[in-house]
Amino acid sequence: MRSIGAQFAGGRHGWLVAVVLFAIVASVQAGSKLVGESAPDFALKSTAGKNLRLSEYRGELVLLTFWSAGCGRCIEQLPQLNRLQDHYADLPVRILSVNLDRKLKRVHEAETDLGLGFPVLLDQRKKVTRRYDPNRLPLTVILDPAGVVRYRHEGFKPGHMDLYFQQLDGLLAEQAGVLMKAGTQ
Amino acid sequence: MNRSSHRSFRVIDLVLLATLFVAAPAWSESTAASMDDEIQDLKAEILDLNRELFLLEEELLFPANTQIAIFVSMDVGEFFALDSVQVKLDGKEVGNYLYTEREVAALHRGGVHQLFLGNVKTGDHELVAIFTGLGPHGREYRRGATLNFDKQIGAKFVELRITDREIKQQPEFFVREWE
Repeated sequence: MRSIGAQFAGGRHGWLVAVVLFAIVASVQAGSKLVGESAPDFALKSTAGKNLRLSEYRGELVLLTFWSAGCGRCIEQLPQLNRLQDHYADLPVRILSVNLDRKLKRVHEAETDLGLGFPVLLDQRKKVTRRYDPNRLPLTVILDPAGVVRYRHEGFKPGHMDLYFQQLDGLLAEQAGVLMKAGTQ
Repeated sequence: MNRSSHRSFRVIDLVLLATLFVAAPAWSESTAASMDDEIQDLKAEILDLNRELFLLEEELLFPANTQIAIFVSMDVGEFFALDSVQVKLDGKEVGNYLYTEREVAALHRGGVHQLFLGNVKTGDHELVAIFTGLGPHGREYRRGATLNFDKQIGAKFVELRITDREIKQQPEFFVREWE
């Protein structure tokens, strides 16, 4: 008796199995892009007029999110990041957002409407965004104090915020452990 | 084997075991200390090796004969808040650097920033530097400075210098070669 997989693979559904497998592999690869590697450094101008460089935040945890005003999921996520920022206000956690829109007016409107309390960096030429290679928006990456990408999330689904809190708490605990170990040595 | 020899073996076993218990902590402490030293030595060796590799890489990628390095420096800078510097070499953009507040503060304190390191052939070349930022009274300011130079055999160092001109209450931009 042939296995189910062999029946599918050998039959007319073979191509379907191949497509599904390819999609699964591609999504797994997309989800792990840059994870474990140093985050590509960049300097961008913020809507407030200041130039910010990612590497200047070494020593802190950074949640970096790429968004566009025309992306519904991004607009859903951004105000919730304000809550995250308030929660970690006294801790070395920074939130930076990179906007991809060409029209500045649109970005300013979105920033004001959403009441964003963290820097909005402008990447109109998408040079920085390309280096992070998102498949969909918002792309959110969490960096550790050494500037290494530890987590990467594409899109925004219910439960993602809890995951961000969990991952940031984990990294803070890890950092506290490292400091305690260094203190006892 | 008789009973007395059995007993003597047991005594020897106990003595050996006791020796092991007494000696073990001392041995482990000394081993840990020597291992720690070895690790520190290895770390130092790795750092040395890394430095040598870096120098070798620099020599290989930017041989002294064709090397050109461009630096940015600032003197006072009261009339100009630096935002970015764009550098074109023979019409081709080779560097475009956005300065953060921290970097500008470092330049004010006398720091020198290496904006570009590359290679050019010997002969005549044109270097154009475009400085953008906020000028006097917080107005947007954009100025260019050009240097035509003859690249000889040997490394070439060029400095882009921003200074204040007190009389005119304006910033000044210089491009000069380091001798």
